[in-house]
This record gives sequence, structure tokens and C-alpha cells, in this order.
Amino acid sequence: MIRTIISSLYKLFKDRAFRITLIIGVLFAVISSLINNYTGINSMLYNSSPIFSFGICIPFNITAFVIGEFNYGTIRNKIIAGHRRISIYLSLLLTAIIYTVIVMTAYLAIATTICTIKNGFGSGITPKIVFAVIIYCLAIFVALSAISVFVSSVVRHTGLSNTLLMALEILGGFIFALSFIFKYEGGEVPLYLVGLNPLFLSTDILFEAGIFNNFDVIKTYIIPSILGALGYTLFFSVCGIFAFYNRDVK
Amino acid sequence: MSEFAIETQELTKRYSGKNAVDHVNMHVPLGSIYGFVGENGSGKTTIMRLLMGLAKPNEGTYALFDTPNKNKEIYKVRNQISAIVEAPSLVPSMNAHDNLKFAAMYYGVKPTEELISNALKSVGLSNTGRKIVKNFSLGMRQRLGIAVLLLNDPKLLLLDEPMNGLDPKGIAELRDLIIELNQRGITILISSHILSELEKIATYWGFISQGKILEEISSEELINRCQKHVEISHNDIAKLTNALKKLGHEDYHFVNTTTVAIYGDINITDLLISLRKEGLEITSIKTSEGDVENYYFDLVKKGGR
Repeated sequence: MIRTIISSLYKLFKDRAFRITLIIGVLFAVISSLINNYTGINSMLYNSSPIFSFGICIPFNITAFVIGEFNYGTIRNKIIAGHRRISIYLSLLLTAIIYTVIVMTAYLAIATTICTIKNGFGSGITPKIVFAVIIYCLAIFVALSAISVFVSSVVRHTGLSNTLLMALEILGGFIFALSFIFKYEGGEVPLYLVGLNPLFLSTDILFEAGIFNNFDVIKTYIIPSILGALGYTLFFSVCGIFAFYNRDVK
Repeated sequence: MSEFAIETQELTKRYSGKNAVDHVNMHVPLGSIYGFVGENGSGKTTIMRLLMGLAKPNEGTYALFDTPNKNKEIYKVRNQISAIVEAPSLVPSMNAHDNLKFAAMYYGVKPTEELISNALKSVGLSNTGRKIVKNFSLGMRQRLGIAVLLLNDPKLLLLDEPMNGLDPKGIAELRDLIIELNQRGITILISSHILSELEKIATYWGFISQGKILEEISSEELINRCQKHVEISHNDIAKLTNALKKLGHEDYHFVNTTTVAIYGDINITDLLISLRKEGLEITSIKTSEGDVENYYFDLVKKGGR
């Protein structure tokens, strides 16, 4: 398995698309941070969302990488070389996670640094909260990678995979909209809804927390958000391995 | 140890309820160049894909170097096998050097500069520099695909239509390379539509049509059968063969229960007169120039031997 991971990472770092995405991400972080008026923590919270920020590009880049592996026949060669399908799938997943973490870390670090220099990091924030937010961001990125690898390895068609991933984002947005119904009626957002849609709902809550300086809300919602993200990661990874194990490879 | 590098038993693969590979029993002798011949859609590629673990059989089993496909050791055995199935597996956005380095990594071979430059040299691609594979000609890609195959020092090569898209020089170079690799002890299973090229290298043959193996035969035997010959039919085959022996025609073989193929330079008129004198009325007679192509077409018509 280590051999397949090393080879996948080698291919990733040699991939021009990866380097170009990284450069665009950095430029985007610089430009958006110069335009907005966020504090460091608000920038971090806002930009950790895969729908409101540069993160929206991540699933499509993962799709291109995974489907490229199928189309160019490199997955075929790895199977012929005697690698187990589970190793190949996990190496793809790990590569996608590393890709996402590198791009998003670069993006978030630059955006947060520039906003902190401009407006300060923000008041009332304990290291515990920063740590919790970082863990939350990582859990979201890992879940995002797992879903993208699952969809692209099952569908194996770039256009269709992107359509499905976009549809999932819209569905996520729909569940996100449900949170407003609860808020407008003066109630609290149920925790199961946070767990169900960690990608969007908790981003909204974190953003609100930053704006209103109410970091207690993070303490309430961060655990179900992380658990929800880990649940998605596990579910889509197991389903992906099962589907990849049982299907023929062209 | 068995004398076969590949052995299948009743191997079957179905797509949408139709048998693409139909209870195939195939035997690729160790050290042979096995020419795999069949029309488009006959099941050649599907069999190769089954053998490589890219698809799973619906029925039957296969063994690679005596290791059955259901044995966990099959993964280790596969590490000694290389294949080009349908097209070489290359990353178009990387150059030849990086493609080889990438392949060496997943083969578990240390990607040293020496290994890579030797591999590039062996297929005549040393001077491609930073040119990416996307801009390679079909022949260059095919050659780079072969270089990738050789990185793990394989014992068995599976080549599916490797001559496709190659110019005559490329075909000749590939042919020489295949012979050289075989002389190093590598067993090679090769499918191609260019039968004249296969004739020059194959030491063993497998003919397939509609998912079924029609015949497996050594090159020597195939050459014998492809000689110019006359096929004659009679209802009583025993009587016919007795008459042939009496007339001094010893070089023949049975095509089916009523037909015999007689080899050599034969005067048909004399043969018919002689057989008539022996009291035999011939029901049909046919001459054949005999080459692999005609032999295959005859096999398909007859549905195998």
C-alpha cells in the first residue's frame, strides 16, 4: 500500500493542475483578504466552508485526478502489478485528502494572516476554540475528499461526477436553508441537523459566532459537526471500497 | 511445477447475460510466445482482463504459474507479470522519464536514474527530454508502454494488439524486442490482427471465436497443417485412409469424421482416378493454399477441431 501511496503522491505533485490550483488558491486568498474587512478568526471560519470559499473547487479537482487515474490506465496497471483494490482505493483517498489539506491550508493560512495583519485576530478567542476550529476544518476537508473520491470512482465520468457533486452541494445548501426556518421561529437549530450537514450548517453557525463574538455556540455545535463529518467519511469510504472491489476496471 | 504459465479451466465471463468468454480452457506453455488469434469481439481482451484481475470471472478458474486465482498468493505472482491491455497505461501530462519513475514506484522497483535511462534506451526514447507523452506519436507511446512493462523484470508479458498504430519499422523493432525478451525466458501472450507478423514470432497458437477456444496448437503443427493440401471426403473414413496408405499418401490428418487433409504436391486427377480404382466414390474435394488466416477461417467455419 505504501508503494501505491508514494506513486500517487508523486503523480499529484507532478500534476500541473495541482500546482496551478495552488497558485490560484493563493492569489484568491490574497485578493479576497484585501477586499473584505474580516478579523483573522472570521476569515478562518468563513473560508473553511467548502461552498462559500475557494473550497468549492476541491471536489472538481479531485474528480479530475481520480478519473484521470482510470482513464490513463494507471489504476489498471496498479491492479496488474498485484496491488489489492482496497490499497489502491485507500491510496487514492489519502492522496485526495493530502491534496485538499495542502490547498486549503495554504489558502486559509494566507487569508487568515492577511486579515489578522489588517484587522487583528479577534477578541475573546481561546486557543481551545482555535484548535477546535482547525479540527473541524480538517474533518470537513477529509469528508469532502471522501465524498469526491467515492462519486468519481463509482461514476468514472468527469462531467457526470461534477454534476453529481454539484447536486450534492445544492442539496447541502437546501439543508442549510432549513436552519433559517428554525432560527426565524425563534428556536434552536437541532443538533441532528448539524450532524447531517456539517459542510454547510456548521459553517453558518461558526460564521455567526465570529460575527456576533459568541463563541459559546462553537462549543455546542462543533462536536456534532465533527462527528457528522467523520460519519460521512466512514460511510463514503466503506461504500467506495465495496464498489471498487466488486466492479471491473477497464 | 506445471509446464504452463497460464492455465484456465472453464473460464466464463458474462455481460448482460451473454457469454463473452464461454467455458474457456486455455494453456500457455512456459517460455512460449503464444499467438492469440480471434476476430474483434471474440473474447481475447476479456480473457486477458480476467487473467490480470481487472475483471472477475462468473464461472471457472485460472492459474498463473500454478497459483490459482482464488489463492491470496496471486497478488505476489502478479507482481512478476506485466501487460498492455488495449492501450499503454501512461500519464499524458508527464514526460517519458517521469512516467517510468511513477511506474517504478508502484511496481516497487527503486527508480534509479540508471534504471530509467536504461529503460528509455532499450526502446529508443532516450532523446525525448521534457516532451510530455500527450505530444508523443502512437508508436512512441507504444514503445514507452513496453519500457514500463519491463521495469519489474517480468516473467510473463501480456500484449493486446501491441502492433496497432506502429509503422513498419516500429513493427519490426517490436518483433525483435519480443523475440529478445522471449530468449531471456519471458513467456509472452500476444494478440494481434497482423497474422503475418504473429507467424514470424509465435511458437504456440490459440484460436478463439465467439468466446470459445477453437484450438490450441504448436507452431510446428500449424505449419504442417498450413501446407498446401487437398481435403477429400468420403462416408467411410476407414476405407478412405486404407486406400490412401495403399497409394503411398502417408502425410494426412483427419479434419472431421468424413474428411481427410492430404499434404504434399498432389496431382488431383491422378488421385481421384487412383481412388476410383480402389472402389471409392469421393463425395467432395477441395484444395487449400494454406496460411494462418485461411486456417483460422476454416476453423471458425467448422467450429473448431
